[in-house]
Amino acid sequence: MTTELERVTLEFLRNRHELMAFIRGLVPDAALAEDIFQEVWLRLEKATQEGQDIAEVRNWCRGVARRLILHHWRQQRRSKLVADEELLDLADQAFRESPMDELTGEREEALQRCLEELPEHARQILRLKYQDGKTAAEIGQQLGRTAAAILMALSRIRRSLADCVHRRLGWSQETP
Amino acid sequence: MRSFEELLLLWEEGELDEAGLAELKAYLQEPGHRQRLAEFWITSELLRELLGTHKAEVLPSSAQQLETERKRGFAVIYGNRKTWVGMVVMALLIGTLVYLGPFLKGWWNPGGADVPAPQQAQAPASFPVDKLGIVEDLADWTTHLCDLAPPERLETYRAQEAVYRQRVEQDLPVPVRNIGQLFLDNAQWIALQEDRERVVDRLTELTLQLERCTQELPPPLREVTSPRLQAAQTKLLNTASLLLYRTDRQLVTAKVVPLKPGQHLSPIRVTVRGTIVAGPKLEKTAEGYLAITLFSDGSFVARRLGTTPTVTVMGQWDSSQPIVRQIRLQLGEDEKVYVSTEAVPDEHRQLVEKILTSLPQRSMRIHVDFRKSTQPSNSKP
Repeated sequence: MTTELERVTLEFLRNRHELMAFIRGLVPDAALAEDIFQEVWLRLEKATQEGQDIAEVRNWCRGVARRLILHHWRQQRRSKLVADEELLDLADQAFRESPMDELTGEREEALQRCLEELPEHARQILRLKYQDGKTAAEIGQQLGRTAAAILMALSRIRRSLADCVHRRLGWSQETP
Repeated sequence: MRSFEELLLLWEEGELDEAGLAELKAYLQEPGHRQRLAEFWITSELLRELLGTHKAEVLPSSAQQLETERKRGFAVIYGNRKTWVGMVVMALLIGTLVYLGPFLKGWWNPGGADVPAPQQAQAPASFPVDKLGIVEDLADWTTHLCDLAPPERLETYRAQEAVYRQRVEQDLPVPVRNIGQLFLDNAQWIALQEDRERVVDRLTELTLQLERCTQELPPPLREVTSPRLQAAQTKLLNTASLLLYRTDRQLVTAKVVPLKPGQHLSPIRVTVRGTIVAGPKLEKTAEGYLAITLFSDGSFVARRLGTTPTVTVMGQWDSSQPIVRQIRLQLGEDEKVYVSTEAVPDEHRQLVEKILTSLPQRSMRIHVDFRKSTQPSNSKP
């Protein structure tokens, strides 16, 4: 059993960025996303200890995360978009179809290099957004621009980062 | 129609309206866009990680280069990279370290004692860089794996760890691989540790070690690595606070177990009714880190962490006085539980008294204000 637990643990760790990306994509609240992530792990560990045969750890974990997210959405009756199962299905499908992310390490390195290539003002916007967790409106306020302008800038920066990462990884622009 | 990236960004912001959602779903009918969605979210996650820990603006490019190379080399140990890439990069890293060697001479061994082995003599050059990377991994591991605990492996890790710790405590040089191993072992120890409070204690201890490490660095190297060390410390402390919060949240229950003086629960768990109203926040003091949590029923948990012994005081406010219910002293593997300050042995009593002195100053006001305006809750938060 310990060997099986080690196997699923390693598999879980290998795919943790992807799993966290799936959860954070659907649950913006960092602490809640972390809770869901941990809950997935606990369930995986429990299922393994109970002798369940989990061949596809990656898909199994995402399936559990999917159910937990749906459960959370149903409880969040105040949120603007409540329990949109269709989007959840499409996101799930997107991650299922994406190649097994053994390239996370290479992707991270490529991304780091691409970040270094960006002009300082673009890096500043990214830092405010992904390091400080600010909204476009807050970033706009700080930089003296409108929220719409920041969103446009972010959209351009993200596109150029994606192109740069593709180039560095030797992927075509259309199909990674 | 808005661009796909724009819609994804609006979704990320929580600002996507129904029309936007329909547009997004229309895009996602195509496989190419689904692939871009997965990639976009993975990139967002990597950006949070990279920008949260890699301060590109304060690190000279040579240090960044070294860090990237270290990561490659380190990854080989875990076997998730192609070995030849790792070997080439390790060779580059060793070359860089040899180049930096004279510059760093004497840092790790300030007293000038003999360095016994050539392998150990190489240790200082890569120590800060190695340690930082591993501490980052450590923080990740801690967050993600602290509940994993196959007990049969604990002893091995503890034995290994004891050796490294002893060398560090005695200021002995530690071979470069071993210093990496020290932190890896810490990560593993934490991964295998069941008691979150002990994990928090270990994290604060590591934070203090990092602080000492910063002070010992020669000035030019300190300038380069200080921001990274500080970032690592912040990350460790944030992780510690989060774990502590979760631990304290678990104390809360709707079931009330009244405690009488002289009585304590085993294992040490005071049952609390209500919700957390303040804390826990780790504050640095002369005696390590202090964390205080206040609950809506007037209960409190105050801990002194990061140094030996770890002290936990649990109790309840009565008018303006904290009434102590339990005191726990943790000295390594040894745990002692007392039910009053007077019962604590003389050599440790002062620590407990210091915590109790800090308690009213830091938390009375919050507590009194809270009790005026709110009734204790009966349900789980």
